Amino acid sequence: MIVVLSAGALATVQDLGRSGSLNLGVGWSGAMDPLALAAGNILLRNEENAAAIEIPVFPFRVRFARSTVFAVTGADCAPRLDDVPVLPWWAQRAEAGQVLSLSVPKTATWQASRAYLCVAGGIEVPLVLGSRSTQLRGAFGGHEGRPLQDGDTVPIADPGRRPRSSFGLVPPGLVLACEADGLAAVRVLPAAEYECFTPASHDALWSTPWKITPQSNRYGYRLAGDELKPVRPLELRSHGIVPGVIQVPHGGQPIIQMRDAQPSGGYPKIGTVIEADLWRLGQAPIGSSIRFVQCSWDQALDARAETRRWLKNARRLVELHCSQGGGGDD
Amino acid sequence: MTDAFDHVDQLCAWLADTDISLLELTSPTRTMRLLNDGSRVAVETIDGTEGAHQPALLVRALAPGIFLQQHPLRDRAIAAIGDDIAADASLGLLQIGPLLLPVSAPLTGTVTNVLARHGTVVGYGTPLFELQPLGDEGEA
Repeated sequence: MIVVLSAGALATVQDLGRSGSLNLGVGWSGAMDPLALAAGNILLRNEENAAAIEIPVFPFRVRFARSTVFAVTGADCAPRLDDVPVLPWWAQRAEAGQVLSLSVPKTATWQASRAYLCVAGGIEVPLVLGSRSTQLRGAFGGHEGRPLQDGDTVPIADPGRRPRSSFGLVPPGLVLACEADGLAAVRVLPAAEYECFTPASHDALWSTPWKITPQSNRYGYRLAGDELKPVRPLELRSHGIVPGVIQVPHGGQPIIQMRDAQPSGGYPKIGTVIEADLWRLGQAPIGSSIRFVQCSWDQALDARAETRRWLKNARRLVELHCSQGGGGDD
Repeated sequence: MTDAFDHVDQLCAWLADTDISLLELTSPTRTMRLLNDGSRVAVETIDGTEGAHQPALLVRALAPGIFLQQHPLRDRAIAAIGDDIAADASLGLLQIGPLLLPVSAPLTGTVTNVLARHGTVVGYGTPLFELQPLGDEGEA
């Protein structure tokens, strides 16, 4: 069990998401950086989809009620266990009563904004429509369908396999880097209404920076940059949309749908950020600028395969290390 | 493993029958000199707390990998020369693909030298750190 001492704001229980319910009007939810969550679960020998706590606002503090092996992945928020520094992306044992403190992420080597507190066994909340993710709009899933509050007690599932501690993973963001002109970049497939925009809008989309405005959250990112204009006014009926879709409302400033996006919308879509790069957006801090890089369907599938290869290889090496009796305690 | 310090009498007897004039026994916490002047063997013990005489301990790579002095997300070394490190705490890291393993201090001590360069490939047994044991605390 974890006792939340300082919840920050909008910290939520998330797994890899609630797929297959868009037809019911229920969006994906799930970790904004699914790669960090999956890596944390690999470190702790959890199943890939085990739930963790996503932390977007700091400081954040919890107390472990029992001896627990944990890992903090995602943004490096200088974790401390009581007063002792703990490495990021590192399996570490906390004894009963110890307090974990996370502070505002350092962005010196990797610009990232969300941390994941993963625990051996995973966060134990009921499955709703097949997922433990918090559905904020519907107020269900996760911990009572809401962000964590000070004083909450969050149960941890019994880890089936014995977790190991005292080893880590290299953050995949450093290896799978994607940049354009020194800015973090995400790959984009042109979407259904791409051809309805002016050539100048196409140029702006692919070759100018887009700033992530403060009106950005788990629902969507509102971007600021050159105005994107359709050749002639477009009116569409509402239709199904998924996270990653880049909509252009009348003001010409794009909105990227994120994990908590509603499953339908009516704005024209100029592009879609590929699934393999959604974690990059999930970590992009508010106020930072990103670039869009055009890619093909095949490149999008290759990017997804590359991510899966990284995870598979990490899983293999962690299991090999643990089966050799490596790792610290027990 | 048999500790040579438990068999000093036997070693002295053997030494007396040889031409060897000095046998020095060293452990992380103490040093013993057996001096053979041809007629008798004298035993001289150097206490581990006498730092000046105490040999530094080499911390070696326990696996082949890429030696990292700092975490990939950090710009500061985990342990630099002059730092006091507690037993079992990390001095550095070994990277094997995406895996990071700790290079741990076998006992409490002061880092006196870093023997491998950050980012270089090291083999099994490559010396990575020189650690000057901090006598009493190391055994505590």
